[in-house]
Formats: sequence, structure tokens, C-alpha cells
Amino acid sequence: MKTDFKKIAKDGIISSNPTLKLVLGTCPTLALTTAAMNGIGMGLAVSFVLIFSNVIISLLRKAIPKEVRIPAFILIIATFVTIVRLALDYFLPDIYESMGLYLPLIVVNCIILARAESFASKNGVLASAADGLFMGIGFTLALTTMGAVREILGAGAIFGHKLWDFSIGFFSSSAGAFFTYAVFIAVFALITDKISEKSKLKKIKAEEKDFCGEIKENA
Amino acid sequence: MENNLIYSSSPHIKTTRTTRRIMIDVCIALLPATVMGVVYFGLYALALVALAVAFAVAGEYIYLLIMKKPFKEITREFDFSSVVSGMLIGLTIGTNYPVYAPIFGSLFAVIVVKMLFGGTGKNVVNPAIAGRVFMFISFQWAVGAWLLPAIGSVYGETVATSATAVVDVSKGTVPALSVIDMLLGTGMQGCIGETCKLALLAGGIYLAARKVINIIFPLIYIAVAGLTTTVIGGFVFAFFFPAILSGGLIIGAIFMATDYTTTPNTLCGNMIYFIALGILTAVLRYATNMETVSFAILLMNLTVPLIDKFILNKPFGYKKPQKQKEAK
Amino acid sequence: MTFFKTIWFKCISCLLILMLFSGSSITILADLLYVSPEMRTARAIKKIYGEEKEYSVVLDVDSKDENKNTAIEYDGVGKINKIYNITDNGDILFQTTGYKGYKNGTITLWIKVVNTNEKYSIEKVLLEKYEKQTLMSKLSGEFYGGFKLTDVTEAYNDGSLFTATDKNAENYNPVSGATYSATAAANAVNCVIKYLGGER
Repeated sequence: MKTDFKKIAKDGIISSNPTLKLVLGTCPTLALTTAAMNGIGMGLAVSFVLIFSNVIISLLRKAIPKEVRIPAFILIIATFVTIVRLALDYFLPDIYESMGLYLPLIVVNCIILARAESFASKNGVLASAADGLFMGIGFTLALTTMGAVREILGAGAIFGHKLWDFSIGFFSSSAGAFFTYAVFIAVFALITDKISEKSKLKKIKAEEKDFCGEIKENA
Repeated sequence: MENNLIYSSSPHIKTTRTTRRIMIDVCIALLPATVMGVVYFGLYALALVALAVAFAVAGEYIYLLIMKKPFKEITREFDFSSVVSGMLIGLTIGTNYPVYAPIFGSLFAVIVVKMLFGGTGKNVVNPAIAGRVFMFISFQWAVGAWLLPAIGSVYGETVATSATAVVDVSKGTVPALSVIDMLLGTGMQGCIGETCKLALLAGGIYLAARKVINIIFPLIYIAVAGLTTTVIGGFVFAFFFPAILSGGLIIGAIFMATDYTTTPNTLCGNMIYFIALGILTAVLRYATNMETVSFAILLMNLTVPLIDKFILNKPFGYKKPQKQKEAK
Repeated sequence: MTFFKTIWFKCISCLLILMLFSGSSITILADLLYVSPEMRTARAIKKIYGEEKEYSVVLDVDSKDENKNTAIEYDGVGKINKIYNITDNGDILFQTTGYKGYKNGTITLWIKVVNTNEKYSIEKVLLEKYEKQTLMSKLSGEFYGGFKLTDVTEAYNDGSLFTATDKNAENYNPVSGATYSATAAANAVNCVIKYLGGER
């Protein structure tokens, strides 16, 4: 069974974007999008844990009995989160400090558990790794754009550099987090629906041409 | 042809009370407070209120135009509810706010709280309250010091710039301004519309006379808030009038807590709602030492669906079933 | 023999093997990636001075030297964990822990003290770690910058310690909405004031 990497990529970033379509992992989304830099840090940490836990779970998918799969998945995910914490504290202490409490919370991030349960335990190693990579990329992109918008509107800065003095404090607050999240989901749904409509129309037109072509030939 | 026949379900009652007329009544009731606000705080206050109203109406038009409604139809169906929201938003900020505050507040209140949820009659919380809280959260960094009104105290007293009457009462000291001063709003700091209580009460009496609001409920709210403050302060009755006449309590009680959509449907529910509002306002004022009327109204607005779920309206024509006397 | 084929056995053995592997890998990596107190000190110095500097140890709770590893405690205020003398410019670097934070937690700060002609001044304050505080994000750079003091011994003799609650005090440095954490931070700085004022 050949793995379709293009489909996995498209799913991870656009049609099954974990933050904006599957609405998973909302806790770090709402809490860490106050600044764009936080978004990148969290996205990278989650991507790392996703890829490696997907790979290991995919390798062990025949060995883990299905009755204990959830505890086993959480064990594996927790191991990798601890490794990420140790590595960040050693190599990149600034990011470690800015993420604070949310780093150990990655263990219960629904994205990782959901992808482990629904994809990695049923597909091969390479496909699972790719899925982890693209889901992580989708998560990072969503978080970074949300963080950028909230940072520009709520603090008048971007990536820590102050742009202007004007700021609407609402967007830095938790109420603004929910509001921005809702607007992003709506706008993203609008864009993807329009794109998928266009591509569906193209497909139908192409099929029509083929079909009409066949009829003409046979006629 | 469609416009000549009106098709609706019972009850078939014709009346001249339309939403537009009720909203215009509320605008008229707010006029005395606006005028006194301009007298006290100058033309900048008028600019703030005008901007708030303009952008509230603009918000409604923008939203309906994006939803592809024709411009003529919007104007034909325009009920003045956004004008009322705009006026209230303008009246609940002080002149120490920057000029762009009412713009963003009005746009947020009308577009997000009212139009996105379905328009007039479907707002989830009172849009003016939501706009005020939005401005309060967002623009703290640009707010200067409170300005004193142009007309000083009738008795020649001065108020220290940081201690407003709300803070004084919540800390347990009787404020320096006398009750007459607070009633007239002379020498008192505050938002544009909330200082002259006399004008607000006049508006409230007008609304009660026109049967737009039931005057009992705001009075219950105000009285319960005052009583709770005296109880918290240790049964000191001298707190009662300062507590009632300071801050945004009267404007909140008469104009914002009585919004039709965000109050319960039943008499019993309304009693619970307004009494709870009074207690909540007084307790929050004591706990946080700042003006909490808008936050109390916001919180209670969110509990109204719960109240409506459990305290049900009697169906039209319902009679309690007679208890069966002994069978034999 | 059939016991080894039951589901019970498979599940438990699977979990135990996983625990073994993850436990051992984490232990190995924790050892490899261990950040020692000297490394943390070096990081703090890098942040404060922008480069590495040599220092000599006056007091260090993590050191092996018996004479130098008891913390100096001030009852109800905090304790001093480390005192380093920076060799090339005579600065003193303190690491102190302030008590009385939220839920009786603590805040640990690095404090840079500049010594000009026997006059001590507090120039920079850096956060190292905290315990049980939940609103650390409210403690901004401006707040830490408010802990500057031009003459420490004078402040000690005047009795004007840093406070987050007393509005009329000279050294009033509050954080609205996070008073407990601000108090713990202030206490951490007050340890330095007490030490340089002569109280041991």
C-alpha cells in the first residue's frame, strides 16, 4: 500500500488542521498565542513530540495489546515530553522559561493522543512520521498567525519588537483569545470551503469533458 | 401584493407600539442626561457621544451590507436600537478616554454582541455593557485622570482626585460630597452620563410613564444595592444614599439592566434577577474598590437563560387542576 | 504455561517493559543534559553582563566547602543563597529567595550590586525561579527595573525597604493583581539591603 504523502501533507496543514479544523489542543492555543514567538516555540516542541511518539507507536503497534493502548501511548508521549524539557532547559533556556507551565502540559495535548490513536496505531512508520511532521507544521502555523494577530492588536508589537503605541488590551486578555480563535476558525473555514468548491467544480468540469468526449467518440 | 397582506399567527393584536417607537422613547429619556453631561464636561463629551452613536449605526449598516441586504431595505427596517446602544456607550465613558475609544467600543458592541448573534432581540448580553467593558479592558493605558465637571460643588466642597465616592463607601468612610451634590452631579467626577442623577431619574420617570419599562425593578435593584452596602459596612445607615448615588448604579439600573432581551420572562424570575443584581453589585464594589455595575449586569445577563429554564411562564389560559376530593 | 498467553499478562508485561525503557532513557539523558548550578550562574552572569566573568565564592549553598554553604536567613523575609564577588570590577552578585509569596511560595532572584567607593547600589535584578506563584507573567521588566537603589546602606538606615503594599513608603513597587508575588520579589531584594546594612 503506497503511502500518499501529498494527501497526508494536505490533511495536516489544510483540511485537518488540528487547531482550526479539528479544534484539538485548545488549551495551549488560547494561552500561548499572546505573542508570536511563544507560538513558534510551542509549535516546535509539539512537532518534535508528535513525530517521535508517532514513530515509536507505529513501530510498536502490533506489540501493544489494544486493551492497554491508551496508558501505553501516554507513557511513550510523557517520555518524549520529558526529553524535550531536558533538552530545552539545556540548549535553549530562554524558550524554556517563556513556555513555563505549558511544556509539561504537552503530555495531555489532545492533538498528540488523537493522532496516535487514529493514525499511528494503524499505519506504517514512514506515514506516521510524515503525519506527525505535517500536523506539527499545521499547528505551528495556526499558533504563529494567531499569536501575531493578537500581539499586533493587543500589544502593538511583533516578535517582541514594539511597532507603535496603540494597543487594544482586549486582545491580550483571555476574552480576546476566545474571540480571535473563533474568528480564525470562521475565516479559515470560509477560505477552505471556497477552495474546495472551486476544485470540486474543476473536477466535475473535467469529468464532463471526458464523458462528453467518450459519447462523441462512440456516436 | 405581498406587502398588503400580513400573515402571522395569533394573537392578532394591532398596536402602534413598534420597536422603533420604544427605542425613540429611550433616546428621548437619555437626552436630559446627555445635555447635563455636555454642560458639565464640555464639547468633548458631545463629541464622544456623537462618535459612539455614529459608529454604532455604521456598525449595523456595515454588517447588514456585508450580508448582502440592500441599502434601502436596511434603512426601511432600521429600528433605533443601535442608536440607543451608541448613546449608552457614549454616556458611560468619561472625558478622560481617548477619542478612538467609543469608535472601537461601539463597533464591538453592535457587530459582535448584537449582529453576529442575530440582530435586535437576539443579543446574548446587553451590547452597551459589553462595549463599556471592552473599552474598560482595552484602553486603560490611554486613560488620563478623571476630570472634574465645569460646575463645582453647590456647597463649595472639593473632592480629592483619586477618591471617588464609590471607593470611599467601599472603604468605610462617608464621602466628602453631600447628598444634594451627588444628586445634582455638581463637583463629582464620573462618566459623562452618570453624574447628574436628577436627569437620569427624570428619564426613568418618562420611560415608566410611557410604559417602556416597569419602574419597580430598577428601584428594587437600587434599593437592594444600597441596603447591601449598609449591611456590609456594619449597618451604618449613612452609607445608604452615597452608595446609591455614586458610580453608574442609577444609569445601569434604569437603562441597561432593563433591556428586554436580557431580562427573564416571568415576574418571579425578574425579582430574582434584580435582587441578585443589587447584592452582586454591592459585594463586588466592596471586594474590588471600583465601579462594578457593568460587570454585575454582564454576569447576571449570562444567567438569564438559566433563570428562564427553571422559572417557566404560565401558558396562556392555564388553570391549576383542581385537587380531586375523596373519590367516594 | 497458559498464564503467559492471557491478556492480563500481555498488558502488564507490555507496560512494564515500556516503563523500563522510558525510565532508563530518561535517566541517561537527565545525566547527559544536567544543568549544574555553575552553569546556571554562568547563564545569569551572561544575561546581566553580556559576557562571561570570573568570580570568587563568598557564600554558595551548592558548594562542597563546609564553611561557605550555609544560607543566611532573615526570618519572615527571605534568605541569601549565593554571594559572588566579581573579580574585575568589584561588583557583588547575590542570589536570594524571598518568602511570603502566593500560597507561601517563594521567588528567587539574582541581584547585581555595584560597589563604587564603598557605596553600594542595586543595579539589576533577574528572575531565576519561583515556587507556587501563578501570575508571574504580570511581573514585567518594568517591575524588576523598579528595584534600583542608589545607596543601599542609607536605605537600610532609613528603614525604607522595598514593599508592594505600603503606598506611602519610599520604595513602593507594586504589581496590580499580583500583590503576593510582588511581595515575595520585594522580600528577595530586602535580604540584600539587610545584608549590606550589616545585619547578618
